[in-house]
This record gives sequence, C-alpha cells and structure tokens, in this order.
Amino acid sequence: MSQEITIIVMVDVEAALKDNKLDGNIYLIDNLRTDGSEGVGTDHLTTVINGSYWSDGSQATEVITNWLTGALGSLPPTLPRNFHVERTKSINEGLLQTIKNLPARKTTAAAKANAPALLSDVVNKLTKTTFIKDPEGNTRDFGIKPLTVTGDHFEKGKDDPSEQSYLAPVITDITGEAVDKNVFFTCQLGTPVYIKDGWYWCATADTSKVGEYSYTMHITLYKLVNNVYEPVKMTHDAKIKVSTAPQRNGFTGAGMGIIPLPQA
Amino acid sequence: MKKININIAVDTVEALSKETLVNHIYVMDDSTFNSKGQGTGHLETTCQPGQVIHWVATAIDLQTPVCIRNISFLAPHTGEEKPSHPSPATCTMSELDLLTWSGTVPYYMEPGVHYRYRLELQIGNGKLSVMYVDTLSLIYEY
Amino acid sequence: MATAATKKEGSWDSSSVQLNIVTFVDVQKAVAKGSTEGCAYIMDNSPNSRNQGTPHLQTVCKQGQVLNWIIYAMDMDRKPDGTWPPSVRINNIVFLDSEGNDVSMIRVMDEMKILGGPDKIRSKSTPVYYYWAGIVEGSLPVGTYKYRFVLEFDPISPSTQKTYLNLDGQSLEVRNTVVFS
Repeated sequence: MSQEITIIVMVDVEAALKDNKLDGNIYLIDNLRTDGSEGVGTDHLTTVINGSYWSDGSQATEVITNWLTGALGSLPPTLPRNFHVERTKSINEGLLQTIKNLPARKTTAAAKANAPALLSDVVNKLTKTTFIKDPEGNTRDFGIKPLTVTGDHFEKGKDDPSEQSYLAPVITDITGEAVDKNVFFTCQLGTPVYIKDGWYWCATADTSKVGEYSYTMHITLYKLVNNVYEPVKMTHDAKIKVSTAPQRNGFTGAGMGIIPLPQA
Repeated sequence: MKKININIAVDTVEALSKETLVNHIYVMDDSTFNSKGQGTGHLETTCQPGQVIHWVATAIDLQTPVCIRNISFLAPHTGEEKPSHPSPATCTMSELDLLTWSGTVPYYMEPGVHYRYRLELQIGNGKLSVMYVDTLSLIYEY
Repeated sequence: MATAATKKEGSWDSSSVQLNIVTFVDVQKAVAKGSTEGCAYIMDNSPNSRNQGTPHLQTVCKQGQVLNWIIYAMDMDRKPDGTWPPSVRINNIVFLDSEGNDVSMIRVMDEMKILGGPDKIRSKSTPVYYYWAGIVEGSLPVGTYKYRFVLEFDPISPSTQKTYLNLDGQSLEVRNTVVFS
C-alpha cells in the first residue's frame, strides 16, 4: 500500500478574479518534494510518482491522488466543516438578542427615536444569507452569511473587500493527456458544491505508465455578486511524471527467497 | 500452504512527535494458527516452515510516507540484541518504496522457539525518520 | 536513530491531520467462521483514543470534525494468476443506543456517505478507493456513541455468495469544540 499523494491547490481568489486568470495566482503544493517533484509551491507543478511494476510489466501498486483546494487568506480549512452554518446561527442569535434588548433602550427619547432604524437594520442583517449558483447555472439558497476572515458577518460595500473570506475553489473535472492515456482514473464524487456536499476530486494513478503527462484542472471560483455566489470557471495545467523502477525484494535485493532466520 | 500477511498500521504523526514507535504501531496477521498479540506492537506470528510471509506497512492517516527499511532477526538462543542483517546505509523513501518484504519460512526453523525480529521503519527523510521495535516475533508451533 | 526506549512526554492535538479510523479484517477467517469475532482490528490516529488495535476502539473526536472510515482486507496482494483476493466493504455504519442493541434515535453524523467509486484499473467489483466519511454533528451533546459496521464480504470461492456480517463494539467519544464566537 503506497502513500497517498495530496496536491494542495491554493488560489489567490481575489487576484484571480481581478486578473480573470489562474496563472500567477495559483500555488500548487504536493507531498512528494523529497521524491523529486518539481515546481512545488509555484503555478507549474510536476508531481513525481515512483512507478513500480513487476517483471512481466504489470503495475505493482496503484497510487491515489487527491486534489485539495484552498482560498488564500480565507478562514482556515482546519475549522469544523459546519463552521459557516454555526457562525450564521450564532450571528443571528446575537442579532435577536439586540431586539430583545430594545424595550430597555426606549427609556430615553433618543433611543426611542433610534429604535425603528435599529430594528430595520437587525431585520435586514438577519435575512442576509447568500444564494449560490452552481456551475450549471441553477441558483439555490445557500443559507449561510458571507463571512470575514475573522468569522464575522461580511458586509459588502461596508467592509474592506480584502476582509472577505472567499469560498474555497472547487475542482469540477480533471482532463487532458494523463486521463486520455489512462494514467489517471478519476473519480467523480457527487456535485461539487461547497459545504453542502462538496468533497474533493481524486484519481488512481497507474504507475506502470512510465513517462511525463500533462493534465488540466477545471477550477470554479466563487464571486460574491449581490448576495449570490456566482461561479467563475477557469482551467490550469499541471504535470505528472511516473518514474521507472522495478520492485525488488527487501530480503534478497532481487527475487523472493527465504526469510533470513538465524541458524542455531 | 496459505500465505501469511503481516499488516503494520503506523500512527506516523504520533510516532514522529513522540520519537518512538512504541504504542504507535498496530501489527496483525491472518495466520490460521492463532497468533498472539494481534493488533499490538508485540505480535507473535505463528507459522510453519515452507510458508510465505509478507509484511506490509500502512500509515493510518494515509497522507504521510512510511516504508519498511529493514527486517532483521535477533539471535534466538543467546539473547543477543545484534540483528542478523544490519540496516542498510542511508536510503531515500523513493528507494524504499520499491522494496517488497516477503519470503519463505526456512526448513531449519526450530519449533517452539521465538524468533524475535527488529522491524525498522522509515517515515519520510528527516533526521529522526528511522525508528525500530524489537518486540515482534515468528514462532513455529507444531 | 531514535531507539524504542526514547519517549517524549505530553500529547499533541492533530487538528490539521485528517482523522482516519482504519479497520483490518481477516476476510478468509471471518467468512469461514460466519462471524467477525477475532477477525477485525481497528485503530485510528486520534492521540487520545482508547482500545487501539481491538474491535472496541473508542475514538476521541470533536463536534464538527470530519471522520473517515477505511477498511482493508488483510490480504490485499494481487495473486500470481492476476486476480485479486476477496475484499471487504463497509455496507453501512449504524449508530446504536447506549445499550448497544437498537438503532440510535439521535442523529450523530452529518453528511454520512461513501466516497470513491469502482476502480477501473481492477475489475468492477474490487474498488480500492472506497471509504465512508461524515461530519460529527456540530450540536451533538458530548458523550459516547456506539456504532456498528455492516460488512459485505466478497465470495471466497466462485461457488459461494457474498456474506454480510456485523461488527460491533466500536464507539465515538465526542468532545466539545470551542470555536470563537
């Protein structure tokens, strides 16, 4: 059983949306730098996989590859998966508490005069949850509030745009030479919608296919437009290199033999 | 005769953090002769001469690299802690990744004797990446 | 080289590492016996879990944490004739009441699902990439939650059928998550 390969796909979402391209705004990191991967941490990654095969040419092991996406400068992915939902609930509870406190404020004339505006602001904030448009163009209720990088309610037009915690980019497909030549056998894991059922894209690599192959990641970024997360589709290329070496027996250095038990 | 698989599950992150494999490896086999210490770092695999044994190491978190670097046997009668086959000179994970660890139990294996072995694992290429335990064994019970 | 004797004190919270609960099953033995007793070993990478390497693993986890359940047959090596040995899959993960008998009325996990699909490299029936994952409910009361695996075993010979066996004894110990609010 081999180690899984993880390729972290970090995107500077703000810059990528501004430039309308991923080149220069994407950082690819895998866990095989010590095995010889090239361009780790840059936008041109070549992941090196140790190919292994038996003497008859058939592959000895499969290697599982995961692509995990992240948005630079956003809420960390180590937070519980339901963080957005829990924060939305908690922010709303705080807002409801404000309403509860309203009668006490009515004691002064100024507070009394201020109450309707405060109430309308609370109602406005309470109802402020987002919608999401999936890559097929269907809009649906997303149920969460846009958040800042510190987990507070992000209000567009009011807060500094750089404070926004962008949704993690979603990989919707892996295509290209590596897939066409059956080096990558990709797995489709449900609808790639963030939080609700968004998991990650993965592939099993056939390590007997020695050589260098390119592949294309189809990446969807989300842009917040009038309370709707609109998908913006982009692509980016990377490479996989399967190196060549036959498997050997650890005891003999060649084929199978006896277990070297000490003789009495 | 049925092949025996010895599976070594490793909590690599804990092993690296605590700098020991003790309590961070879980070893089990599918021998039909009821091995003792299943699921612990003290597995006694019951086998017979002529049987094939295959060792495989797996990281529980699946994200970290772990390879068997060496399996060497300690002298069963003298109690000497000197392994039969010394650990290889420095090798990289990519080299170790190509090694398979299997072999046939030799006919000179004596019944009722614990053949303790040193299992040496390598987790990545760092300074403290190589660790071993001397607590596993093979035994021929007839 | 760090020797077996070296040991550092103190524990370490691996919040950024995925929590995997890994089960190894002696498929041949379980199918022959018609029971999983003495055929399954479960372990995870949560530093405080109890009964590691036994069927009674108690996994320490947090509200909102993602858990992955992975299962392996102890014989996973391709046979000389090119076929693969019989495998085992988790058909269902059922949470039980505190007695460990009946199905729990409490929703313990969110978004429980199987990940992975048939592996085209092998045959349709032997996926290598196949596991369960879910999220511990964010508002789940802290406590111990027992669960059961319903396991599906491949036929061990062409003339036999698939076998379905339960594996009981595992549990989750759910602890409180403190997130900034």
